[in-house]
Amino acid sequence: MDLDFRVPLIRERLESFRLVVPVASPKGGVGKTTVASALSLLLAREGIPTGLLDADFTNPTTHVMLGLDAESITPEEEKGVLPVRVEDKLEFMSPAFYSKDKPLPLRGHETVDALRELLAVTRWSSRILIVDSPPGLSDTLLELLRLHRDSRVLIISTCDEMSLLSTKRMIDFLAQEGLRSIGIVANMCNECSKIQGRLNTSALACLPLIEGFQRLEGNRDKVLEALGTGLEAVKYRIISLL
Amino acid sequence: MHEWALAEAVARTVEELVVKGRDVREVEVVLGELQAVDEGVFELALKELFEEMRREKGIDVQGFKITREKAAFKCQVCGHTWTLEEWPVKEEFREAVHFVPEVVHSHYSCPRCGSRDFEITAGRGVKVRVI
Ligand SMILES: [Zn+2]
Repeated sequence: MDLDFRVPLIRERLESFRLVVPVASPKGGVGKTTVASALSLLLAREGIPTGLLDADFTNPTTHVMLGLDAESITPEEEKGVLPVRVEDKLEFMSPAFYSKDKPLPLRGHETVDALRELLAVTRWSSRILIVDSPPGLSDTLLELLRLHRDSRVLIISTCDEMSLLSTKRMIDFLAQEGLRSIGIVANMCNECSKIQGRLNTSALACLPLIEGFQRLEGNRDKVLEALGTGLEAVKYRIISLL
Repeated sequence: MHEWALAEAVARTVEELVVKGRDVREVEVVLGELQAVDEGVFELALKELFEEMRREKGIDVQGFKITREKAAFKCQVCGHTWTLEEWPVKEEFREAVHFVPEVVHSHYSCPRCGSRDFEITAGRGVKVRVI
């Protein structure tokens, strides 16, 4: 039996959200952090109180996308810790506020411990929690899904064969576990029809490769401008679930 | 007061055990040295939370005791073992480690070979034993 003293409080905190959305990608480098950030901004600016958690403990980068300097920010303490308010309706928590952009090598059980610690002490006030998780079926993603079976995974995939094979494995895994998905976002794709052909389902959103996207990183208005329209369908799908 | 959240986690755990039918007489909370939890603040918070549980939910925990555990480390690379007393974490990083003990890997390394790939063998953070 699980006797980790943090688990009941974590479950209570996660249940306080109307929706928990782990953003997952079967492979690295497919734009998971970009989509998680843009989607959070899109929802927040629609007026929905949104929480964003960077759960990629060994390599957190979401703060860079949001234009925040992790070195100079320490979340405020108040009967726990309060996430950082990035915008009026967007609150954000990242392990980078504590690791300060230094390397953070963690063995498997330590990743789980760090995730539990952060989930136990962070006091969110949003209606939806978007979680940027590490690539693959990571310890972090598995632990999050274990702690909150009602999570709805958003899968990010590119359209090349390797990525589609990995995506198929993730879809099969979720189905077998009885876990639910919001859908697939095809990112940096020219032919989204490949998704339909290979995975027997159509992508909820299809985002093209944006030339020079790196220049937009850190500029929230520009990130949203570049991706917001492409993510409208995901936004409406999420709103329908709230 | 981040200690409040840790005490709240302990109280929720006890509550869940009692609701599931377990007879909880006493709770032992072990505070690991690495996380440097303020014992006074933590104790006060836990007292208040247990009192609230008694008042609002009729759950009566007779007592709790707080013990401390020294932190110890073992390097995964060279096998060296050491304690916090022998090799302290720099003052400026203690607050970060207090919130998320695992970030010690970012701000601290093996005193012998310098590797960040070490194991926290004892005294990481808060642990709960139900008696
Ligand atoms: Zn060593």
